[in-house]
Amino acid sequence: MKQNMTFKEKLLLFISFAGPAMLFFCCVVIIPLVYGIYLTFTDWNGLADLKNFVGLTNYVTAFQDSTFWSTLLMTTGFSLLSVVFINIIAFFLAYLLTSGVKGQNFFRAGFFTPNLIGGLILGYIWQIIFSRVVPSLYSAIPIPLFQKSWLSNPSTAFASLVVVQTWQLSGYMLLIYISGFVGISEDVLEAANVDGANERQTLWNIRLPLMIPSFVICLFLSLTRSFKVYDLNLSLTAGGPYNSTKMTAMHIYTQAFENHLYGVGQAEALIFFLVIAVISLTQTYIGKKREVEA
Amino acid sequence: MKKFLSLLLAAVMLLSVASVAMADEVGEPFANQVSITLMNSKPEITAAMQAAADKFGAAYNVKIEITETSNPGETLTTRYNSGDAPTISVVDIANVKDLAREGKIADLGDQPWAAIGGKDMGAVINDVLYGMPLTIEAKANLINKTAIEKITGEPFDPLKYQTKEDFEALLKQLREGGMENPVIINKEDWSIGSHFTQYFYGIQDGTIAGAEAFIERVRAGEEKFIDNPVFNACMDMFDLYMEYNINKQDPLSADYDLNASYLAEGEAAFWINGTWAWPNLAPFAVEGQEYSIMHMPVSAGAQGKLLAQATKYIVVDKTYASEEQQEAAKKFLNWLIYTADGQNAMINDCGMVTAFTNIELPPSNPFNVGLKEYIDKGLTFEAVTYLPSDHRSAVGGATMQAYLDGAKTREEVGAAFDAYWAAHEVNY
Repeated sequence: MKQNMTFKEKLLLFISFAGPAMLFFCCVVIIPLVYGIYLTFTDWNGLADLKNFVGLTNYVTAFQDSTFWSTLLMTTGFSLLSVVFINIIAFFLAYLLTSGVKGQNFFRAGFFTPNLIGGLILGYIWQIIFSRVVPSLYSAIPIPLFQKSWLSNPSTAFASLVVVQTWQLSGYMLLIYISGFVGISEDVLEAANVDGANERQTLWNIRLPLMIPSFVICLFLSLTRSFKVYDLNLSLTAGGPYNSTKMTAMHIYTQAFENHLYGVGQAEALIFFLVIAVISLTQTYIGKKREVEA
Repeated sequence: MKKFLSLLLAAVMLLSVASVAMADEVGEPFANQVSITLMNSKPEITAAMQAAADKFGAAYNVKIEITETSNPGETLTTRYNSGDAPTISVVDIANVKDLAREGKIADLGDQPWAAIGGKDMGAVINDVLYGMPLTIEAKANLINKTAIEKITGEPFDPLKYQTKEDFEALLKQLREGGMENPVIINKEDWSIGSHFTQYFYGIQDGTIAGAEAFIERVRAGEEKFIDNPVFNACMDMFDLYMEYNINKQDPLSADYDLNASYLAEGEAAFWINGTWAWPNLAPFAVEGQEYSIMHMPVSAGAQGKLLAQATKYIVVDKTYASEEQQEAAKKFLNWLIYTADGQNAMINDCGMVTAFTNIELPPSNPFNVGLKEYIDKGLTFEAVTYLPSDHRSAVGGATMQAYLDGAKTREEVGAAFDAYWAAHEVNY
């Protein structure tokens, strides 16, 4: 490439390649974000033409909204559990499916399929399983866990959300872990083998450290996706029973669109955004520091 | 012969005058096709409404695109914000209030149907008619008469049961007769959290003023729900329903379609629901079983009366819709009310009970027939045009579901409602 381009030429080159993407990014991310921040300072109800400036009132209301904080606590719990289960399952499945099991391509496709079904449809399918199939199992396996629908009790409804989230996302993370496993150089593994490392030692001392980038990306994706969960929440439990499984995203939606407190909802959304950003950036930073070169 | 001919001519003339009069209300077809949208918040009539819209559209050169929602308030907010407001919206009274307050919808007071029941039963805010009443509905106990009579051995007359005690005796009799749990309670928040809670206010003394006075006393801290006799009478009634609930093993796993089938097949006799549920019950209806409705036999105000009112209103947007689109929308409403095809669509296909005095078609299903009987006897009372749109989401739904599940006591339910009203602005 020519090194002696003028600034104008560089700008033109940049715009011709990155321009369209920048334009769309601005339209769908930057402008709504800025506009959203503006709305947090107004008393807009979602319908009115007039938006009165109210200063920081909405932030005060948001900080005083105990329901918001309790949903945030629950969403954090949900995300932590989901992230742990998703990544453990995805990692071991990936390990299994790169070790040369018969029909591994078929299994890879099979485990990935839940990801192709949208969250809404998935939620409705599992709703039938938890509320109809589970209780009917009780006649065959009479344990208390199967006595009632899982969706009619706050704890089991919460558990069912974790189960479905894990079931859906582990297939996706599986693909990333598989590429991580496959990406490890054969030379390194062979060298370990020659040095007399057994399978457990190879996994622990060679594969795991070399797969840190996969962990970073998988943890990031599963963490942010779990925090932001809405569609599954809506279709599986609809926040029920009696609002006990209402996650933060759904609470914000209710505030803005059902309770007509658009400014408050927007302020809560912004706080929620900052919380997720801090958590996921910290996680990425720590993960990146642990990356090693082969 | 001459006499016969002149009679015939007179008859033809009368008929043509009548048909012109009818067409007059609707007006002429558009020269160029007009496209409008309709947001329907009554999902059970979407298909019938689409068929009616197509028929009207073909005759008047209007294309109506229908979308469906079960949360009209939320959908309206998102659609108005995205500049995609529906030309016509089928909505609840709280939504009409929200839209009218912001000046988004058209004044329909000049429409010919205002004078024939439209204004009496329509959504009128500050004396302006904003919403055409689409249907009159009753929140009622849907009943399987045949199943009751089979056990009691005598004809069932709902009016015999005026108090909770009368009704309890009947439930006992049914249980002894082999129907273990004769009552069906939905788990849906709109059912127990919105409809049932309307009794708390509506039967304070059976008038809107009485209900508003009660809310004011609560807001001022002069009265608590738990000390209010009507609230307690309603909760006594709910306790009775719960005791005989067919879903009582796991009340929050109740399934709406299964509930319909329990009533249809006579496994239970009373479904706490409303007249709109016929399309849900019809697929399970059993030949030879007689279905009807009855009031809630609560021992409090408005005793023995049915909670019935216009429940869905049609409004026309004036902010995004062009003059021509608004005209097309109004034409469609007139077509529904004044033409034979329109009336047939409303009464028979959509199964509505109309507020308009010019429509003589009888109601089309057993629940509506039951409702008509109560209306004709003057045994209805009107409720709630004053509840804020978040009454269900902020307090009603979750609180009543928790009570149904045994996770909240009556005191806690009362306290939740006290707290809600203390924290809310009221726009009656």
